[in-house]
Amino acid sequence: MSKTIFHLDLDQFFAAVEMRDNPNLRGKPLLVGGTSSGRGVVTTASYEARKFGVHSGMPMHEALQRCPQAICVRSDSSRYVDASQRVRDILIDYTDKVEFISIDEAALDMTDVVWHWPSVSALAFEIQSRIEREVGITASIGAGASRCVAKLASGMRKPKGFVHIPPSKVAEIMGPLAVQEMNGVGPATRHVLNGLGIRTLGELAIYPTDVLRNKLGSRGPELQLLARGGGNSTIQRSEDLPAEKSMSHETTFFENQTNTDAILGRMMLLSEKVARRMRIAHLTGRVVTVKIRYKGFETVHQQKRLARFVHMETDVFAAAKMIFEQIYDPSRPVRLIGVDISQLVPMGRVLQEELFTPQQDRDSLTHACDDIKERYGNNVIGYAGHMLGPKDSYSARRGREFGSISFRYAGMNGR
Amino acid sequence: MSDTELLDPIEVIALFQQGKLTPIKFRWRERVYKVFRINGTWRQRDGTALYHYFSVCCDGPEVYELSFNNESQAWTMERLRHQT
Repeated sequence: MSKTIFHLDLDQFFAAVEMRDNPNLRGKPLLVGGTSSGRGVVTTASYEARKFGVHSGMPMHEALQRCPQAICVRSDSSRYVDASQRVRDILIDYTDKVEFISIDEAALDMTDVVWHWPSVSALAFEIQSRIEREVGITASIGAGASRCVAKLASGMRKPKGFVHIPPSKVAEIMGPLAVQEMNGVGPATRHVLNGLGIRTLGELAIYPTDVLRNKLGSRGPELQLLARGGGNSTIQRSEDLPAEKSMSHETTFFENQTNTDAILGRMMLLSEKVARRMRIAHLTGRVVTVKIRYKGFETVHQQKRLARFVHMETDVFAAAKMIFEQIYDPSRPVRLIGVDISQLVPMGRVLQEELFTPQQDRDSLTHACDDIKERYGNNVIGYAGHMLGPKDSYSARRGREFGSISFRYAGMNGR
Repeated sequence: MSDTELLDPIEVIALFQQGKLTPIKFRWRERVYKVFRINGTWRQRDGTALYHYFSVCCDGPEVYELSFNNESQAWTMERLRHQT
């Protein structure tokens, strides 16, 4: 018996939340994620803006060239996270076999659920109606026997659409679609397939498998299986997923930054955010990576493997600063800075090593700060270095006085 | 379209019903506004305080953003969104 997989995609998610909360924006070209001065990138474009060729990930200045009448709003993650969580709560009412792929996408195994409903479409419409009624945004749902088919179906009739592609209809519905419509076929793969005379999924489904293997390796037969409506249909519940492999934070400066102290101040804040997330997840990491994007979008990365595992902001920042000093070109204005830590392992696994490291005072300070943040919020206390960078908008908006701990860069470096 | 950040304390008549909080009327700058429509709601935790946010419309095109802090039990007019 084939499975019934749903792929749910929230329509123009960030833009939809903005339009829900501000009806004056409805029906207008809307760009979420940057400023009207052209900084940042588009995280979501409303359907009205997409008609002008604007898409997610496009630099804001380019989006505004294509659609100068667009309204720009800065993204407000707290509202998107809240809306996404409400959708998750609704989905869990139907099945615990839900995999949350991203903030606006989920895959559900409805095989054991759908039999209680008059039809697959009745179940999908019920979920769509609840999301619209309770969260105030719309979702498109695709259904099929595999994840790939369900995802493809979810994008066929947006917004608020539902498309079911049962195994008996795969050839009829998917066959005429261009190969690049399928998830996993990028420009390079499409070029290879087109070179073989394969332009549609129907042509890919019946092409000699050996030739595909010769041209694309093991990926060739895998793509053919997907084009035939097969492939992975396993839903991995989010709580069963392996722990995160890396944690990172990055920020785009409001104006290109040339002040090294201000860049380091922001890097310290990013180090603190990464370290706090690690401690909350009881993880510790060993490889620190710094990313710098200059004006003109040239991006440089460098990583450093540390001698021991770390989960304190002081350690993360000390390593990040060392990397920064190696790769930073002070003659060039900086647009974006990022800090990433990887090779994460559970804290308990490296605890023995830590026992012989004299850092108890620093641990106490960090834990005291964690307690204060837990009680009063993330923005009430931090290292003085933060204040050299642009002030956090939320703490400013809430009118909080920003507490600080004096901890000089030089002291950290010379520890 | 323009936004004005306010953070003004306000008085609100609200309905607490079946675990749901709904603002009905609010007094802001000596004037009483009746809530005609709630556009959207969201929550945000800040330390132990949980803020409930409401985007509402009254009798005009303006959109008002109200918040309720469950710890201090205080209502705030966060932001006014004008249509220009």
